[in-house]
Amino acid sequence: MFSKVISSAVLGVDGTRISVEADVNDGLPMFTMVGYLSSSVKEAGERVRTALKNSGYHMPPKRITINLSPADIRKEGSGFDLPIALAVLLALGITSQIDMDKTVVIGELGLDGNLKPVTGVLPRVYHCIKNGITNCIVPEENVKEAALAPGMKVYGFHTLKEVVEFIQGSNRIPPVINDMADFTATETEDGLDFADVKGQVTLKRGMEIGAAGFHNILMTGAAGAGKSMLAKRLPTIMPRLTFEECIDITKIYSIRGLLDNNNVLITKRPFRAPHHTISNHGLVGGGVAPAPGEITLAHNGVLFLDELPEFSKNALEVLRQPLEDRYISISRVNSSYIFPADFMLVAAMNQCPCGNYPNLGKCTCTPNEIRRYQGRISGPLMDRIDITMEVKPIPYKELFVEGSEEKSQVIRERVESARERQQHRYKDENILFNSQLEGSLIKKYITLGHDEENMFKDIFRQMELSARGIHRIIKLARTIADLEGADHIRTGHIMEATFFRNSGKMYDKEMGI
Amino acid sequence: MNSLEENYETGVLHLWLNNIEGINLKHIAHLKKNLGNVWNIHSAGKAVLTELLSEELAESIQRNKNLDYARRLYDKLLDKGITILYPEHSYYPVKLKNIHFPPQLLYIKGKREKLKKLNNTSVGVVGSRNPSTYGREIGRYFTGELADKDINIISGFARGIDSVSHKAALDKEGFTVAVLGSGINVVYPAQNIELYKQIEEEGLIMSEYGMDFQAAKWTFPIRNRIISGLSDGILVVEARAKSGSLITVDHGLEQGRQIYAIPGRIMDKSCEGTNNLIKQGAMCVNAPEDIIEDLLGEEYKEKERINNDLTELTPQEAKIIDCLGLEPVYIDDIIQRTCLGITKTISILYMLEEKRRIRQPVRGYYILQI
Repeated sequence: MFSKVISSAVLGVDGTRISVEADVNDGLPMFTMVGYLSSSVKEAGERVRTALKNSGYHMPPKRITINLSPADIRKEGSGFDLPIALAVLLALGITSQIDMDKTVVIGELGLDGNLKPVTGVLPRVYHCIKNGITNCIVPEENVKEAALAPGMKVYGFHTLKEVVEFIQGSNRIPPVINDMADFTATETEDGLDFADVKGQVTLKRGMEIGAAGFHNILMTGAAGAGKSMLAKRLPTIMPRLTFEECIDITKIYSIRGLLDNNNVLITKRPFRAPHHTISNHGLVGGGVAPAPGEITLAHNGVLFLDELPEFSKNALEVLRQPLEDRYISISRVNSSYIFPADFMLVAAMNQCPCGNYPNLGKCTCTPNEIRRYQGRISGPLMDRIDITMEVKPIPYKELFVEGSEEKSQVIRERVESARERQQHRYKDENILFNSQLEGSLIKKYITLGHDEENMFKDIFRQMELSARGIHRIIKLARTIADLEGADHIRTGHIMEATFFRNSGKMYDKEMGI
Repeated sequence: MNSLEENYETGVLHLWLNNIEGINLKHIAHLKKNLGNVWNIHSAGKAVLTELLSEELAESIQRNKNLDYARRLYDKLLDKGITILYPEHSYYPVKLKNIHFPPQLLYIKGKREKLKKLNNTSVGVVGSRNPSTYGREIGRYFTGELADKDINIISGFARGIDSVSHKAALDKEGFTVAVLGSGINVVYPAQNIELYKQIEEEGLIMSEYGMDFQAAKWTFPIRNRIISGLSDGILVVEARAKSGSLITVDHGLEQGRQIYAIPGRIMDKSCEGTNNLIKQGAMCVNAPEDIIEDLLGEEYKEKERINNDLTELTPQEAKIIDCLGLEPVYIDDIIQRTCLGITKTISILYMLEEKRRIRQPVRGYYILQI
């Protein structure tokens, strides 16, 4: 007898529908599984047979064939145990009271018949609800995650036996449904706030501009300036997440198994700070079945690279394409995977190996050492950074001065209104932020007055900038004007943009303090 | 002897003599004193030479009498626009003749007509290779003012104060001489290549060492005697207690040159050397006019050193100028002291930079421009 159960697999960051078919026939007793399976799925056969036996179901000595289709997608992971078990039981003749064509089944089985949670439930369930499958059966631990898919009727169970009783109609439980009508991105209070950092007005202002126009930032300077502290707080001044953005982030974290079971939906912008020993696969994603890397985990949030020159040259170079395209595409023999990677890059570095430059009294490095150290950041990577700032460590005595620092909330309101202005301005274009402006778009959207035009001419001449360098200043000036709510760029905005500009070179010939 | 001075063959003979293995400038001076000139040295027999030098060296000269190599070398030098000077040459700086061990051969890059200028009033500028911003600014200011008075600026082309003083002199369209510790063709430090070209064009580059001779630890102290020798006075801008600049000062004292030292703070290690010099009797200079007066005898005029004129500034600009000095101040500290807010402060700083009243030695740090 033939039966079919719907399940789902993860491809990249999205789910795809998989049909689990079972057929029980006379013949030599066998349990065969086909359908381009990875070894973790092939092993499911043993688990399912044992789990069925230990749950009290008798396996007749027949020829049982399992097929997972479509057969051209490689199936990975352990979520197919439960659908296989159900397909076998249905093929053996148990009757279903529910519509199996409208139900997606995901779950791993233990040998005792207990259900175990799996990763990547949200992207699979989310794909199903978009494709008209309205019920889902998952392990109890995955219920909250599955329920994030709006409108999905989620049924959670602890054992295989419970599931079978449910589909036979003898165990009726109410579904968990989340209509998400009352969604507001209430951030979990973790106490991080810009006001925690004393002083550093310039650094804070630079971050505000960066957040408003999605400009990548490079901070240079000695340790103890609060670079990491502020970078960590950067998500608190970025605009609140929309529901779609939350889902996108949660899907990614689900695939990597990084969800907190109590607070499944991620409502806070991610902040990822990988250590500088990370490999390039760790950074952009990879593996036989590609898994998302740090840049994807930082999607819609901040990727903070501390001690930038210490990262391997390779790892930094692979950042170039995702910084431009805002996604990363990883190709493997059987298919290519696209992971979103729309992150804001915030990098920090010392200017020299000893870490004290530009304090010449303390720095023991030779100019050549400094040049070599800074040369580890390639030109193309520097080109994608709009803001550079030199920061100064805070003197000890100032650490304990009581001052009224601006709260993240206040800054965020300015950032949000600046973003709204940009979205309104670029509604006909394929871009969202000032930082994404390119040659022709700059001409189209930015008009300069007479004074401003002259000012740029002066800057161009005096600072020996490249055309690209001037464009970076224009983009920054546009963001600063947006923060102020101004329709046109004024000279004041240009002055500030010039201050925060990325001059392309950090090491000013033999200079220091 | 005059007729032999500057012709091609004399040059060849000097190159020949200076390139014989084992012969150093002491030997050459000794030979010239006894035999008169290079022609006589070349034609001297073994017996005469043995009387003046050790047997070994006399033998070495005898063996190498062929001038082909020296001719080829001289052609190459002329081809590259390199002039050679020897004590008998009419352009050889008079001041150098009177020092202990004057160089017997100087390779010079630059325009020939500039050679005359070597006899003008000159100041040798020495100082730290890693100066503070203050030292750099003061060095630039002093050198610039001296160059403005047509005083030659002589220095050693090293990093730090040396480079600053060469640049300051060129900026004021003054005349500057770089005395290298390496061969005349070797740009060391390499990042100074632009400066090298500029000095070649507008000043002179000088070395005792042949074309591609690589600098060694011992060449720099020896070179220093030429810096002090060419100068009438030596200005020490910023030197630590055991700075190499003090070697130049020692040479200068031996040669009877005036020593000028710019005082620094007493607890500051980077000016310990200059302060010690003042204690030992060097002339303490706190304005370039002190040096100009001492060298040129010009009347000292009290002059506003830093442009402290606040009248042409807006009150807010004056407020910012007020909290700046020659020690770099970070922008956050300016904002804190002036309470003007970041946006306002940045635009005023921009205007002041535009007016050349202030500078950013490092991003975000500001000093007054002098």
